[in-house]
Formats: sequence, C-alpha cells, structure tokens
Amino acid sequence: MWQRFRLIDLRVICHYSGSIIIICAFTMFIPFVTALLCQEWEPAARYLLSGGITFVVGALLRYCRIEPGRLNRRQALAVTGLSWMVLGFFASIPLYYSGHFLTYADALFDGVSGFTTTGASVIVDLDHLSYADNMFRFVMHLFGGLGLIAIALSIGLFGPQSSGTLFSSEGRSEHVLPNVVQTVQFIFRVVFLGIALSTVIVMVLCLFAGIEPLRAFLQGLWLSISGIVTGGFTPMSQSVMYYHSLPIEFVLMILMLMGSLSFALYAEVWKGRLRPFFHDIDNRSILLWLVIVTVIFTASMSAGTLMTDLPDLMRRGLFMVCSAFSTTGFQVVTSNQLTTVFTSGAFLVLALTMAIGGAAGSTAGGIKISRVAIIFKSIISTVKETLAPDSARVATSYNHLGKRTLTPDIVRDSTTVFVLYVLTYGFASLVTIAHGYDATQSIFESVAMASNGGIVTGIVAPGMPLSLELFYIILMWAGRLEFVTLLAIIVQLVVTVLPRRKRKVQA
Amino acid sequence: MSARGAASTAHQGEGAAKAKRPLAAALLVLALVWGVSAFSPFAWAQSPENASSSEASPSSQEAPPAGGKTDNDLDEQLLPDSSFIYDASIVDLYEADTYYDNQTVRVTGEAVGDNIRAGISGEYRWITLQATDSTFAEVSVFMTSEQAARIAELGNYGTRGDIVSVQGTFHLVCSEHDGLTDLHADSVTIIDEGYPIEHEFNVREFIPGIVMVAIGAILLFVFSRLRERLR
Repeated sequence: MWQRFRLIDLRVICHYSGSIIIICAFTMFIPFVTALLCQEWEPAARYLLSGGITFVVGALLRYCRIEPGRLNRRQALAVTGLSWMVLGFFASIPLYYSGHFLTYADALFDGVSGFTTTGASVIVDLDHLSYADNMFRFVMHLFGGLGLIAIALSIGLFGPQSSGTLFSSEGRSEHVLPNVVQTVQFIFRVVFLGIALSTVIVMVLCLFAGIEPLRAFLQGLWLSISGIVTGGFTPMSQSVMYYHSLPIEFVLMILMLMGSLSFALYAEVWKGRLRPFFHDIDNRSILLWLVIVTVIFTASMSAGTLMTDLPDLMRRGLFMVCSAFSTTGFQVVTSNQLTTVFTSGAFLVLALTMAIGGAAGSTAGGIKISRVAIIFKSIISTVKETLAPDSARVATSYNHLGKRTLTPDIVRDSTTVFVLYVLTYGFASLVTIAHGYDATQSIFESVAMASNGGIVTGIVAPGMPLSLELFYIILMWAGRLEFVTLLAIIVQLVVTVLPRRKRKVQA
Repeated sequence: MSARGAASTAHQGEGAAKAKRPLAAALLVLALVWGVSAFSPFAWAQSPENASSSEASPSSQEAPPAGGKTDNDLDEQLLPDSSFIYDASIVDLYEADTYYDNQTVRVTGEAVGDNIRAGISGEYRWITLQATDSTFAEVSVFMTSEQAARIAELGNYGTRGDIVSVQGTFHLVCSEHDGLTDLHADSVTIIDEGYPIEHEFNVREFIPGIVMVAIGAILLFVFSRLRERLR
C-alpha cells in the first residue's frame, strides 16, 4: 500500500529544504566576494540581492517546524529529490539577470545543469561573462558534485540522527568510513587536494601560454573544479579547445578519470592498501571498457575520410572518449566536427560511453560501469547454473571493498536502474525526434542529458524549443538522482494529492 | 551572375544571326572583364568603404616594411578560383562542412579572450574571433606574433575587443594542429578599436541586498531562540 504525506511530513520536508536553501544562499556569497575583489559592481549587487532573497526564503521555510525531529526515509527522499530542482530555481535568479540568457528557461536550464554537474549550457556570449558569474557556475558544479546533502551533513545541518538515510538517498554515495560525516569529510579532502594541485599546474600552463596572472589562476581553478567533479562547464565558449595546450588537456584527462573512480577506493589507497584498488570490479571493468571503446572508436574514425591521422585521433579522440566516459562534457572538437567530421559509428560510440558512465560512488553520471558488470556476472552465473548438475550450487562473487557474494538483491537493484536508464534514453530520444531533430543527434543529446554527460551537438542551444528545454531539465534532475528517488517522490506526491477511495461497505 | 547572363544572351544571338557572332563575342569578353573587376578582391580593396576602414585603424597605419608592402595589403596571388570564397561570416565557418575546407576566406569579428602562445617558440599565436551578430559563433585564428601584437584590446567582461578582419585559409580538420578547426591568417586588419566598458560603483544598488541579508539573519536568530525555548 502506498503511504501518503501528512501535513507533519510536509512541514518537516519544508524545514529541511530550508536548510538546503540556506546553503544555496551561501554559494551566492562566493561570487559576491569575487565580484568585490574584481571590482565588478553590478554582479556584486546582483549576487548580494539574490543571496539575500534565497537566505530569507530558506530561513522562513525553517519556521514550518521549529523542532523537526528525526527524518524518516520517505521525508529524506523528498528533501533530497526536491532540493536539486529548488536550488536550480534559486540559482537561475542571478544567472538570468546577468543578461547572458535569452529566456528565463535558459537560466533555469543552466542552474539545473550546474548543480547536477551535467555541464551543458545555453548561455550566450560566454566570453564576456563576469568573473563573478563564472565563479558561481563553478561553485554550483562543486556543490552539486560533492552532493548537497553531503555538504549539509558535513556542517551538521541535519543532525546525526538522519545522516544515514539522507546520505544513501542522494545516489552515487558509498560509505567509506564507519561514520557518514567522516566519509563525507574524507571525500572533500580528496576533492580539494585534487583541485589545489591541478589549479597550480593549470595556472602555470596558462601563464606560459600568455594568459595574465589573475585570469590564469581563475581559469586553472575553474577547470580543475569542473574536471574533478566531472561537471563540464568551462569559462570560455570553445571549451578546453580554447587553450590549444596538450599539457592542459592531459591534466584534465587525469582529473576526469580521478573523478570517475569510486571515492571509496581512494580511502583504501589512503590506508596503504593497493590490492583492493586494482582488484575492484569497478576499476577492472573501467580498464576493459575503455580499451574496447577506444579500439572501436579509432576503427570507426579510421574508416572515415577526415580525421584519420594517428596524432589527431590520439589527441582529439582519446580526450573525447575520456570526457564521454567520465560524463564530464569537456570538448576538444567543435560541435560541428562531432556531426560533420566524426563518423556515425564514432558518434554513437561516444553516446554509448556516456550512457554507461563511470564508477559507482564517484561524481560521474550514467548507468555506472559496476552495474553493467554485475548484470554480466549474473548472466554468466545463470549460464553456469543451467549447465551445472542439479545437486551443485553455483556461487558468484566479486571484489568491491573486499570479496562480496552476488546476491539476487544486488542483481535486482542493478537491473532496475539499468532498465530505467535505458527506457529513459529511448523515451528522451523519441521526444527529441518528435521536435524535428535528426535521429542520431537526438539519441546523442538525450543520452547526454539523462546521463549528465553534457557533450552537445547543437540541439541544446539558446532558443531551443521550450517544451524540449523543460523536458531536458527534468531529465538532468532524474539522471542525477538515478531515477529511483525521483520516482518515489512522484508516486508519493500523486498518492497524496489523489482523493482516498471510499472503502466498500460490506453488506 | 552578370557574366553568366551575358554569356546566355550571346548564345541566343549566335543562333539567331551568324553575322552578329563577332559582336556577341565582344560583348561576352566585355561582360567577363566587368564581372571579374566587379567581384575580384582587387576591386573590393579599391572601394571607398574599405579604404576608410583601413584608414580608421591606427594599426594599419604602421610604417610599411621594406619593399613598401604591408602585411595587410591584399595578396595578388589570391585570384578568384575554386579555392577562394570571399567574405564569409564566422557562423558559416562554425557550421562549415567540407565545402569550406582549405578555402581562402575573409571573416570579421571581435577578438576575445586571450592572446595565446602557439607552441614553445612563441612565433605564432592563437586569437579567438567572435561573431558580432547574435550568434556569437567563434573561430580560432592562427597568426604570427606580429599580427597578433596589433590587436590591442581583447574582449571580456568590461571590455569590447578590437573588431578584426582576417583573411586566411580555413581548415575543417587542420593537419598541422592535430585536427583542430581553425583559420590560418594571411592578413589581419583592425577595423575598429576596442574600448573598456565602465561600470560605476553605486552604493544604492547594494541596499536591497543588504536589507534582505539582514532580514534573513534576524529570522535565523529568532528561530534559534524559539528552538531553545522549546527545549
């Protein structure tokens, strides 16, 4: 039987959503400070006002329940699921008034894309955007990549009682250490260390390329944030191609790969245990998958007529494969090259790579390689059972933070998410085709949205049809939550809104 | 078009009266000469609009190098042929198919971003050219350091970059630059100088934000007091 939300549930949800909105207000004070430092007065005033409005709304929502008590699972799911969309809405306020968006829906699209780390953008004239606005775009990526709930937990906004339920409802989260807060803080340490190191390297490379020091530092910082959280926003509209620098591309490739590995395995390496890292089902599958994809991609491109030289394929092709696999969305080819230079085979290989995505427990999107590996293992196990004598009992195991037995529950969970993703990719492609776009481009773009991949070929652009834009916004939201949380919220809301059926009075 | 029209007229005349053949041939030659002179780069370079735009640019008034020929003079070897497309827009190149590959084109746009060193030697630079229309399409331009040095202002927040006209060869997949789509500049002309866009500090613009933050802080303070009382 479906359970309804009661008034007390809604009050608790509003209270905790208010806490998340206050975090969003805090994210706006970072660009405010940036604007003050860079003497960008109009953006400074805009972010102060937007942050203030968000702060007031967040504070008011907390009054819905003064003493909210412990969150139950249903309430936690609702808080997690709704917060991504609500924050996208608040983020769109300063973005829209920057004057770089044709419509409000465009600003909302970028807000949701930023928080969900999709990285697709419909901004216009990006190269004239203020430092403050750019800072906000990457702060959205950072907070969204780390996980809004994870951040709230780490600063104690929810209290210790609700932490486990909330943490698991956000998706992409694995317990690394016994305590959830410790786990979150460990992930933050890894991410910030990666960002700090990469910022220095990219900044030095930018300085060498002739970029002035302040711009070099900011571009280094922003690219590093975007790379490690597998976001995809870039400060320049030509994406990574703008820098014409092989070393920068190499650093970003490493960052993207770092971001698409399970953070739980970094904890093992941190403890000095290298064996689990190399024997993990995720890492082994990733290595195999990347080799397969690269070989097919290269073979397909070689069959074409334009980009067939090995240096071109090594530099452009390998980077694009890494970007697609990690669902980052950085590009070293133009959108036009994707459709005119890339063969249809290579194009679809990139889409498939985005669709699968990186490791579970990482910042990458998509189905997740471990789920596919588990389904494969399950298929092999079924074949073994079929061939084995009746008296034999086939047990299958896999390595993920120690040896684990493949249980029907694990297979069911993986299969459910896999099927939901595949159905969504298919449905989204049909919706895009219905808007009059080319079929292969529609498949590519739909996968890029639902997997939070962010590599686009021209359908996602300023002035795109409003209905498709709103559909893609929902798609990015659903993909970030891996569907289950969102479906649970939708069912709960529908059940709550629908009137109760009158019980039949027995005669 | 005019030459083609004239050729068609001459062909009809040939069928009607053979006696008029020399006249038709003369007309055809005249039409061809006119067509070439009207649409050739030479004719464009001599037009008063172009002359004024060149004069307006201080960069183009630099002392000519030895031989009395500046880099911005048109290359006379670039005669109209199958590898020459004259004025193209940046959006044309942004959406180009193989038709544009290895063609000589001239585009005009705002120089934006940074003057980026190409390779280690620093002999060449990369400049990003952005369309000045509502498409904001961009193309990477590969040019010598000398050409790049003429661009004084690069567009970013608070700066409108120099409007630059570049004539060069477009590559859809540049073999020299690992498959990049780019434009190799032959000549670079500054059409219009860039300028800073001032944003003045006005304390009044900050007042609504300060008020909202203060209200938010008060609300949170009151909330914490209420919670303490309940406990």
